[in-house]
Amino acid sequence: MGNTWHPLASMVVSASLVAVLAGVWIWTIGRLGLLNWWTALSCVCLVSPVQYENMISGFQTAFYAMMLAVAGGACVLALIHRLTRFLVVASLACVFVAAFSVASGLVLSLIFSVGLLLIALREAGSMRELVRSRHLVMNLGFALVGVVLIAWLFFANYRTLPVNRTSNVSLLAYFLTALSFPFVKSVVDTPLQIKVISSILIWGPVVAIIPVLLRNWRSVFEFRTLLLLSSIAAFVIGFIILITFGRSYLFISPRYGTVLVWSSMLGLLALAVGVRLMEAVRSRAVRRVAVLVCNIWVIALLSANVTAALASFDDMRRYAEWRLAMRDATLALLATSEAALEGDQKTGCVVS
Amino acid sequence: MRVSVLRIFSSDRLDNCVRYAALAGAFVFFFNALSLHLMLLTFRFGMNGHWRIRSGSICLARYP
Repeated sequence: MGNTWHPLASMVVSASLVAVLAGVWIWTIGRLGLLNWWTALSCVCLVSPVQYENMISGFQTAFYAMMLAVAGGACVLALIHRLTRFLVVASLACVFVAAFSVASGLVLSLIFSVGLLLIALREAGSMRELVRSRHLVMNLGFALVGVVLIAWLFFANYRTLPVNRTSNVSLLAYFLTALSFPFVKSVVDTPLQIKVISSILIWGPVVAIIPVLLRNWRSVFEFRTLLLLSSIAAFVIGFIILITFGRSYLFISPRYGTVLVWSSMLGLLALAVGVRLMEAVRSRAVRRVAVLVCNIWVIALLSANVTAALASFDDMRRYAEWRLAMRDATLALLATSEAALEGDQKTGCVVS
Repeated sequence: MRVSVLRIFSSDRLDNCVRYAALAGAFVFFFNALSLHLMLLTFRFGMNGHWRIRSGSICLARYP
C-alpha cells in the first residue's frame, strides 16, 4: 500500500478477522457438542450493525483483533484443557495481541492466568500435588514470566488517562446500560426497569449456568464449557467496568458493540449448555418444559437483537450527517490560505 | 490431480464441525462485506476516500 492508507482495505481486514472468529467459535461449540439452531445463529450477532462505528472505520480493526484474541484464546483453552507448553504459548500470544490492540485487552492476562491455574489444579488433583508436579510448575512459571513481560512492555511510557469523576449513581447507570447493550443504548432516557429486564434477558442464563458448571468442574464437558463461557464473560464484564470508569457518557458508543455483542452470544451458549445438562434429568416432563423455556428465551433474545440491529440504522444516519458536517468544517478551515500554506509546508500534501 | 474446493468440502472425511465453521466464516465475511457496502452507499460518511500519510500526519488527499 506504500504510504497510502486505504480505509476500505482496513474494513475488509476487519471483516476477515470476524470471519475467522466466527469459524473458530462455531468449530469450538461443534467440538463441545453444543451446536444447535441458536448457537449457529449466534454468528448473526457478530455482524450486527449495532457496532457500525467499527465496521465503517478502518482503523478500528484493533477491536476485532482484540476480540479474536479473547474469544479465540478462550476456544483454545476449552479445546486443549490440559496445561501443555503449546497452550501456554498460545495463551501468551493471545494476551499480547489483545493488550496491544486495545488497552482494555490487558484484562485478558489476568483471566487467562486464572484459567491456566484452574487447568493445572484440575490436572494435578489438588494444590499439594500441583506443587509437587515439576512439569506443571514449570509451565505455570513460564506463563507467569510471559504475562509479567507483556505487562511490563505495556506500561513502558504509559500515560494514565484521567479517571471519570462523575457520581457513583451515574457510573452505576452506565454499567447497567452497558450490561443491557444492545437493547438499551441511552444511559439517561431509558427507565431503570427496562435496563434491569434487558440485563436479566442477556446475562440471566450465564449467571445461572456458571455455578452449575463450577460444581461439576471435574467432569470434562463441564470444565471445557466453564473455561469457554467464564473466560469470555469475565472479559466482557471487565471491559464494561473499565469503560464505566474511563469512558462513561450519556450513551453507549457503538464502537463498544464489538465487545458487548458477546453478551448475547454467551447468553445463547449458556442456554444450549442448559439444554445439554437437562438431558441428565430423568423426568421427561421436566425436560420438555425446560427445553421449551430455553427456546422461548432464545427467540426473545434473538428478536431483541434483530430489533436493536434495525434500530441502529437511524443512529447511523445521524452519525453520517454529523461526520459530513465535520468534514465540511475541516475543509473550510483548511481552505483558508494560511492554513493551506501551513499544511503544505508541514505535511507536503495539498487538499484537493 | 485437480482438487476443487467443492470436492474437499463435500468429502466424507471432512469433519462436520470444520464444514459448519467454514460456512459460518463465509457467511460472516460476505454479510459483513455486503452490509459495509450498503452502509457506505446509503449513508455518505465522507470517509470512503483515500487518506495520505506523510511525516506522521494524516490529511485528506481525495474524497468522493
